Amino acid sequence: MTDQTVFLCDDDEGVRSSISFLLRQHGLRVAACTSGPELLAVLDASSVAPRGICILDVRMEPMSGLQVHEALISRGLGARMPVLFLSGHGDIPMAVGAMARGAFSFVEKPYANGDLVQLIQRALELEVQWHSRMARHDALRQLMAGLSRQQVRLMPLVAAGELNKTIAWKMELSVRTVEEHRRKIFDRLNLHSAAELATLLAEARAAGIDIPIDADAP
Amino acid sequence: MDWLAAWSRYLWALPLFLSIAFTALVVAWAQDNDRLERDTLRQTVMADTLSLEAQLTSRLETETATLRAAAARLPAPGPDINGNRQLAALPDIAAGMDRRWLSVIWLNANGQIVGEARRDQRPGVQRMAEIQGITLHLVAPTSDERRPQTGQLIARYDPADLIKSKDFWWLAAQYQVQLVTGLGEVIVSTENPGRVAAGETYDIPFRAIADAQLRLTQRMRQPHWFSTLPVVLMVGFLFLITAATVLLRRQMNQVARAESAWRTEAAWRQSLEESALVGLRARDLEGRLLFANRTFCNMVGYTLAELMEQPPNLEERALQKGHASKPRSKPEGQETRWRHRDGRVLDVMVFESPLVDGRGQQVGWMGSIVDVTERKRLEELERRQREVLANHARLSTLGEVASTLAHELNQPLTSIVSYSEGIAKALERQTHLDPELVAAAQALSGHAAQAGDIVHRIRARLARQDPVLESSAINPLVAHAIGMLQRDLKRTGIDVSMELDTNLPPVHIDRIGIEQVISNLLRNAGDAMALSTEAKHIHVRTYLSQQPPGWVTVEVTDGGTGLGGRDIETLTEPFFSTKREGTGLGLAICRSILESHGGVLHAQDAPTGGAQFSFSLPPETLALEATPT
Repeated sequence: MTDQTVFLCDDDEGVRSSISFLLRQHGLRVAACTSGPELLAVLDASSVAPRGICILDVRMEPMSGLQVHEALISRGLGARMPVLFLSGHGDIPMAVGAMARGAFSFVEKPYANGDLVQLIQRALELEVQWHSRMARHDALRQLMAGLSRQQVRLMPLVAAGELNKTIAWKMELSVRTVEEHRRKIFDRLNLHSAAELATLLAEARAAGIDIPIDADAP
Repeated sequence: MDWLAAWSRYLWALPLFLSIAFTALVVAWAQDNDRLERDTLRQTVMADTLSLEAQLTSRLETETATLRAAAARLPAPGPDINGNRQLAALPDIAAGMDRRWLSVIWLNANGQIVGEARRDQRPGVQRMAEIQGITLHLVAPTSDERRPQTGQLIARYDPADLIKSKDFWWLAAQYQVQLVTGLGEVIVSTENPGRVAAGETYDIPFRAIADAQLRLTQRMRQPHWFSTLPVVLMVGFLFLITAATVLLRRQMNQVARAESAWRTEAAWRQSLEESALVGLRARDLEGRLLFANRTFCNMVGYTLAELMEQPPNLEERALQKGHASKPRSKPEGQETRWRHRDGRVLDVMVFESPLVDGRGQQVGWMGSIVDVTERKRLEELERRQREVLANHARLSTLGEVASTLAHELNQPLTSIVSYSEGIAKALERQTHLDPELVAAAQALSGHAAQAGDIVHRIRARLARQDPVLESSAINPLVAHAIGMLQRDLKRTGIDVSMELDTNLPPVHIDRIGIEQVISNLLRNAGDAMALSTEAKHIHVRTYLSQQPPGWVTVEVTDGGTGLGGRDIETLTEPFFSTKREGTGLGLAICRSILESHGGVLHAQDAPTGGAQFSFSLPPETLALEATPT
């Protein structure tokens, strides 16, 4: 948890420093920005994928909180960093819109005692889950990238529990070749059974990892 | 029947026509009568002439006979016979001399004068004057059967004497009697040669004298038929009738003109009364109805007959007691309420003025009644609409104030809450924990939260209610907003022009809110030009926006001084105002209303120099998609 940062973006100096103070008291690392562009610049400057959450004020100039959120989504950070909105204007439609775009939550200023810290902590926990999932997805992607084209085509059939002979007939390969591919796939992906492969494929598909699964493709 | 009508127009000339016809008849009669009379006269002249000729002839024959008798008594001439004495001795010759013979000459068979007797030798006869003109002769032979060819006795006489004889006085009074030769030469005449009678004339051959004619000429000339008294009277009568007809015609024309004028005026008056939009009624001094026009009858729902027979009490009794019997003349009119026959209440303006007869005496009251019910209803409606808008504007302003206040207060309150929570957390780490300090930090946080709650509650109460969104066209709203402000703008000399795109899609909006936005923009535009001395003009345009595409845009352009470099953010900042009396919330409210509709507000300097505010709303189809459910 120590490598997580709370990216706070609010154009009001008082709010910015007070929340920074509060979060620091809770032992959190805080990066405070005065505007959306500044936040984006900080995130863009980071060499590794930034860890943590974003707290965005809705009413800011020149970019509103919602616009900053859009920018984050376009950078692929929307699914990595939970976004928490702060607003003095409890616009329900705006909140609903933001939630629909994948925001974590919405806090109306002034928040009640402890609310904000609780939400932030839950967001940070979520970020950890997101991060581990993302890490696993990254690993999966790397593993998949090491497979040959034929192995990728063969994988769904193996996952479906087909026998080597059947696969060989369908793919017009020799049984020996199929056996060899199956062994390489299992080795590469560090798997032991077809069922495990099926789970992995489903996970990869859900994560949107690009695996050609069309058996008829050349 | 047309011909009858056409003819009746000329009826006035009928007496003249009849008179002319009558006169013509009389003239014809007179002419005919004249002809008959002339015939009669001619016959009379002929008869008289014949009779005279007969008498003259007989008289000359008598004379000849006398002369012949005297001749028979004469002896045969011889040398011893004194012819003069012989002649003078004859009584017949003396008698003849007395009558008219001028002289008697006795000739023998050889034509020698035997003897002569002259009238002027007679005793008692003065010497005869020289006979003028021609004398005639009577001849009698002195020879008889026994003594043939012995001589002649010739008596000379004056024919004038013959025709001027007193025996024919009755003729001489009537006629000019003449003897003329066959060549028309007058031998002798009863008249003096200078005088010529000009009447009817008739000649017949005179048997007694060879180659002579007796001519009778009527002394009195028969007057021409047209100069007879009846004809003259008739012509005079005709003349008078004509004059009378002309006068009659003139009089009739005058009467007709007067009548036509009267008719026109009556018709005009009638149509004026009937077509007037103002109810008219006349009443006598006791308040009884004398007259009411159709508008009045329609206004109260009674017919004129009903109003005359049983005057209903039109007044709303509670409001105007006794007014009916005591009309007062008020030039500005009096507003009152009447009850229609069907029971509904009418608001009317009554203008009473004295009804004065031809002698200048007041005989009643004339009332003009104007039904102002509809006007009042419209005024009321407009007033209510204004109230709704004003109320909405007030609430919006309050909401905006609350919202702004909330926003401004929330920031420091957020800071307070955060700091106090942070302090409380920090205190937890202190080894020597002062409980009072912890309590204070918690209380601080609690109070800040409470303040936040209060702000929240106030804002929740005053903030705009969720707008009632409905599908609506934008143009009617624009027109309505302009209509509501037109009067105020006119007063300050501003005219508004509209350019409305009729092909705009409907928008999903809170009508009152959007109308308030339009009103606000119009008011701002008007205020921006309030001090301008040039022609003040506001142009309002609706169109389909290109950016964002397909959005409905309303644009208000004024002729003021423009934005002065301020952008929309500055302009819509709460409490920012360029006007001394402005709250600085107008545009802020506009912006928040528009944002609650998903719309946007723009401001820019117009190409013509003024400011140009516009707002765009998503078309209904887009708005409904975007609205979360």
